[in-house]
Amino acid sequence: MTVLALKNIKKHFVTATDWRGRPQHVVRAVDDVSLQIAHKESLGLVGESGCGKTTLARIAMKLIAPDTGEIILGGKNISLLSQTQMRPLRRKIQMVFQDPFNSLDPRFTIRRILNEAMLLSSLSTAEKEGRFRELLLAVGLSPDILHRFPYEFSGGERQRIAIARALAADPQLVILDEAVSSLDVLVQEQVLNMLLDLQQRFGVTYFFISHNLNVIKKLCPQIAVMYQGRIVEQAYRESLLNQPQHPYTKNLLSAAMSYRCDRDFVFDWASSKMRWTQKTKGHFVLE
Amino acid sequence: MNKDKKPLNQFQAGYAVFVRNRWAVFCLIVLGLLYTTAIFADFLSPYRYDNEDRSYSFCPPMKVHWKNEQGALSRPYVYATSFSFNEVHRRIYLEDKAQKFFIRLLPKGDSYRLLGVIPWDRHLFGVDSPGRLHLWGADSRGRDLFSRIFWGARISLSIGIIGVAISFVLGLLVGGMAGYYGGRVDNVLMRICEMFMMVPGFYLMLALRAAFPPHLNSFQVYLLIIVIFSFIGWASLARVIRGMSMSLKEREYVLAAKAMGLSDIRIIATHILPHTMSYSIIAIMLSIPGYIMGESALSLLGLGIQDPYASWGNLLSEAMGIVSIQLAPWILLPGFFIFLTVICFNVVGDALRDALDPTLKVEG
Ligand SMILES: Nc1ncnc2c1ncn2[C@@H]1O[C@H](COP(=O)(O)OP(=O)(O)OP(=O)(O)O)[C@@H](O)[C@H]1O
Ligand SMILES: [Mg+2]
Repeated sequence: MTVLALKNIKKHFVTATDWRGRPQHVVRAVDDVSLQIAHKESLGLVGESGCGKTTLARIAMKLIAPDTGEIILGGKNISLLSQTQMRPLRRKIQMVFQDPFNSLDPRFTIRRILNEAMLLSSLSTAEKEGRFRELLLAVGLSPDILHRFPYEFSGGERQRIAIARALAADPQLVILDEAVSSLDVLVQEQVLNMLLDLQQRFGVTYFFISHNLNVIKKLCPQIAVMYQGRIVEQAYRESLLNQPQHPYTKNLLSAAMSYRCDRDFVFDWASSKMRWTQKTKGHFVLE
Repeated sequence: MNKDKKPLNQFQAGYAVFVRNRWAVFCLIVLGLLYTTAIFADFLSPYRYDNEDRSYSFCPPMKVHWKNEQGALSRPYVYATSFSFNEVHRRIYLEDKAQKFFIRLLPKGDSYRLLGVIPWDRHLFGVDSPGRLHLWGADSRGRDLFSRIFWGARISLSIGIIGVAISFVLGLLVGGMAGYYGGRVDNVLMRICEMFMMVPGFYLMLALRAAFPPHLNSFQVYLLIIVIFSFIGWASLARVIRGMSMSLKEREYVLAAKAMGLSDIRIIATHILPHTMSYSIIAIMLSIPGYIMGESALSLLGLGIQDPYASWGNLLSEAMGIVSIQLAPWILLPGFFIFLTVICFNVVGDALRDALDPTLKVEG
C-alpha cells in the first residue's frame, strides 16, 4: 500500500529577473522527481547540501506549491487542494524540521507546543495530558518538562520534542528532514534507535532525509539518491550499498567509508602529568 | 538536562537594563503620577472643570500663608481677594487681610462620581465658600486653572493611550497579514498604507476634522479625534510589522504550525505577532507623544475639545494673545504639562529601546 507518491514534481526558483521580469537565473531545486513510499517501508533520501531535499519535503507537505507534478497521499491526489481543504488531511503526514533551534516557537511551553499539534483532535483535556506524557516518554524525555520552554533544552532534546510533536497527530507518514544531522554521533545513535522503536510502536512510516548515508542505512530499507534536483538512483538498501551504479552514488559511498591516515599523530606524552599510553605508533589513550 | 540553568527571558533581562536607567525610572514614575491624577482628577482638584466665578477672572495664583499675623505657625490659609481697576480698566487683585479662609481637608464641594461610579462631593482640599482657592490662578471666566489642568489631563492623556491602542491593533493586523500572505494581499495593503503616509499628518488631521459636522458634542469630538489619530497612525506601524512578519513566516515553527493544519489567522496571532512585541512596545511609547501633541494642536486651533470641557490644548488656546500672556502668564502652565508628558514618554521609550531590543531586530 502506498502512503505517499510524488509524480514528476518540479520546482524551479527564479532568483534573478531582468527589467522586464523575465527570469535571468533559475535554480532547479527539484527537477522532475517521482517517488513512492509504501506503508512501513521507510524511504531514505540522501544527497549533498543544496540538492533540493528540503524543497522536495516541503512540497510533499504542501507547504510550498510545485511548478508541476502530483502529490498523492493515501491514494488521494492532493496537489490541487486548497490550504483549507488540506487541513483535515494534515494529520496524516507530519514533518520534523531541519533546524531544532528554529522549529519550536521560543515563546511556547512544551505543553503548548504539543497541544497545538493536537488541536484538531477530539480528545478531552485530561486525555490530551495523558497523551503528552505518553509521547514524551516515548521519545525518551521526562513528562515533567511540559511547563518548560524550548531554550532550556539541548539540540538533541529539542529534536526529540519535535519528534513527539510530529507523532502527536498520529500520522501515517513522518518526514524527517535532517533530523539528526545537527546532533553529535552518540546522540544521533540514540535518536535513531528511538526512531526505530517508535516505528514499531506507532506503526509510522518515515521519509528520512539526510546527507549522511551512514545514518540513512540504519533506518531505511529503501534508499533514493538525489543529485542536483533529480533522483539518480533508488534501490533496496543492500543492493544500493553493495552495487552502487551511478557515479555520484559511488562517490558518496567511498566518501562515507573509512578514512585513510598516512601520518602519525605527534604528542609529547612522556612530559604530560596524566597517564597516557601509546597503544600503537602515534595513537595515544588516557588510562 | 540542564535544570539549574534558567536564562532570563528577554523581558526579564530588559527589566534589569531598564531599572539601571535612573532617569527613565524617574520619568516612568512621573507618568504614573500624571495618569493617577488624571484618574482621580475630580477628587484631587478643588473644583469641577466648569465651576466659574466671573469675579475671579484672570485672578493670579493665590499665596498660601503658613503664619498668622503674629508670625506664629498656623494652619495654611488664603486671604479673601478683592479687586480694583487700573487706568486701562484691567482688574488688579489684592489680598483682603480682613478675611481669611483656611485650607481644609475633604471639604464639601461640587459633586462628582469617583471612578465614574461612587457619587461623592468631597474633594481632597479646598476652602469653604464664599472663599475661593486658585493655587495656580484662574482663567478668563474665573475657573480654577489647577482644577482644569487636572481635568484636562483626563482627555489629553487618555487620547494618547486609546488612540495608540486602536492604531496598533490596526497596524498589527494589517502588517501581520500583508507580511504573512505576501503577493497581491501585500501589494494592496501596502499601497493603502503608503497613501496614508504620503499625506502630511497635520493636514490630513485638519481635512478629516473638516469632513465632519462642526457642531458635535464634546464626547463625539473626543471620539472623533481618537478615530482621526488612529486613522493616521496605523500605517507606519503596519509597514514595519509587515517586514518583520515576512521574515518570521520563514521560521520553521511557522511552517510546523502550518503543517499541523492551524488556520492562518491563528498562526499570525500566536506565532508571528507575539514576536514583534518588543518592537511594538517601544513604538507605542514613542508614538504616544504624537497623539498628545496632535490633540493639543487641534484643540488649540479650536477644532478639538470645546469649552467648557478642558484639555491641555484648549486650555492653552486662552494663551494665544500676547496680552493675556503678559498679564496672566500662569495660563501657560498647561503647556508645561504637555512638555513634561512628551519628554517623559520619549525618555521611557528610548530606555525601553535600549532595554528590550538594542538592534530592533525580529525576536528569536
Ligand atoms: N525560496 C527559495 N528561493 C530561491 N531559491 C531557493 C529557495 N529555497 C531553496 N532554494 C534553492 O534551492 C536549492 C535547494 O535547496 P534545499 O533547501 O532544498 O536544499 P537541501 O538539499 O535541503 O540542502 P541542505 O542539505 O543544505 O538542507 C538551493 O540551491 C537553494 O538555494
Ligand atoms: Mg535542507
